[in-house]
Amino acid sequence: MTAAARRRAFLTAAPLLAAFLVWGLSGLPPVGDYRGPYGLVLNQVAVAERHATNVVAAVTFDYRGVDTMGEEFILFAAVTGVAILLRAMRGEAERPPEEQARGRRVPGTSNAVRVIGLALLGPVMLFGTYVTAHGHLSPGGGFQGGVVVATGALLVYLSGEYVTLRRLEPESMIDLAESAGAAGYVVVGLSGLVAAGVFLANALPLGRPGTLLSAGTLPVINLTVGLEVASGFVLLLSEFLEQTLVLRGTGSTGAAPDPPGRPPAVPRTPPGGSPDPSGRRR
Amino acid sequence: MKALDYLPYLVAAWLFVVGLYGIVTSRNLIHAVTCLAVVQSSTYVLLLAVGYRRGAAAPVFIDGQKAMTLRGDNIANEFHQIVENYIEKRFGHQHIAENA
Amino acid sequence: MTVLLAVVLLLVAAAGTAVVLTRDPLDQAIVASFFGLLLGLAFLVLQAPDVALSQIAVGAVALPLMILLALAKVRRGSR
Repeated sequence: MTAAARRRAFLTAAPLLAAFLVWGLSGLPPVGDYRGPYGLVLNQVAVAERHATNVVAAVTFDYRGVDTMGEEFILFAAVTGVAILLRAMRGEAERPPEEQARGRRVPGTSNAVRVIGLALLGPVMLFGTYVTAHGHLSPGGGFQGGVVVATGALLVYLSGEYVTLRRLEPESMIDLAESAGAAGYVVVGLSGLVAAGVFLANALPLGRPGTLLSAGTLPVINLTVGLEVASGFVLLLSEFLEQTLVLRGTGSTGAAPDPPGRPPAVPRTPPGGSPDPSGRRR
Repeated sequence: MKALDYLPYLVAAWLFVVGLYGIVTSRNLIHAVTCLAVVQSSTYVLLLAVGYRRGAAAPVFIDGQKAMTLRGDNIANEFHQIVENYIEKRFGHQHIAENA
Repeated sequence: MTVLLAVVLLLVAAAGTAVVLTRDPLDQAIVASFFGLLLGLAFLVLQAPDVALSQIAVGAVALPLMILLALAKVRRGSR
């Protein structure tokens, strides 16, 4: 079908779909009148039962902990799938990123970007760890803090220090960290099984609500999930960067290697810097 | 305003249809995947709109009391009072006496 | 149904339309980042701070990053 025919077919069907959706959604109670009792019950009992002041984290990691374990493993499987795909495509004659920098006539990363990126690295890591550790006290938790910490690794790359990133976080260590995070959740669950006879039972001492060491297994689960999410995202980032920045030999892509005199087609940056895939001058 | 109460649902339906339009008429696969992300966000908006309670705050309890959003004209004094109550409950009377 | 919530939702709808109407994937990544940020703001106004934190970190940073990296990989593979 041509593009115009597709557009016309969709535009004739879209009002019907929209009408159907609106008719269905108008049957819901108006926004603001949610009548479910689950939230009201939880507000009464969660702080007393679990000694956690963030009820959302108590629901995610304690009342519905098995669902969160499944979700964490979805992320784990997705990252594993990407790693398998991208690692299998690596050619044999790979050159490490430092060697490429010498022959190139490329603009470096601007000093302002480097300074700001590297200066923000510490606060970002600290903030991510804070959000992870205080997940049971204030909004946040393992997922949120983990992604913030992974953003710190991205800052290192953006400041033009890709080589430093590779040296700071060797691949084997990231793999190990991610697996440790994913396995940690299951270990906590099994320890609940051993201690109280129920998988993922909250068997650690509950402590005083409002302090860091409260809510039993919640801080432990937060830390393992944070570790898993952070290392998963850093693994994704480093896999993609391997693909785009490291020159390949005749390997599996089938393309001939670039002759050394000619600047490479894409991306024309030093190890680091943002990829500029369309080749436009900035 | 009865119609305005349903605005989030309308926004969710609009995002869904617009995202579908993008997928149907896209010529680039990466463009289609990003339009899929727009369709995904319509489900987020719907989910959050269904659970919203008017005038409520997020369920984060500080020292057993729900964290509240201050409204109205007397915000500065109310905030001062909240801080004073917290200090007194947490540290007791002696610290207030020391700093007075 | 406050004015703030109505305005933010209309902005979200407009940003979603802009994401779809931007044809070039490279430009679309930037618009998608802005859309993610607006969506995080909408979640905050709807009193869901945990979801807003996740959305800002993922939808405004990780998703455009993945789009850009996929673009770079695709362009390189086609030469």
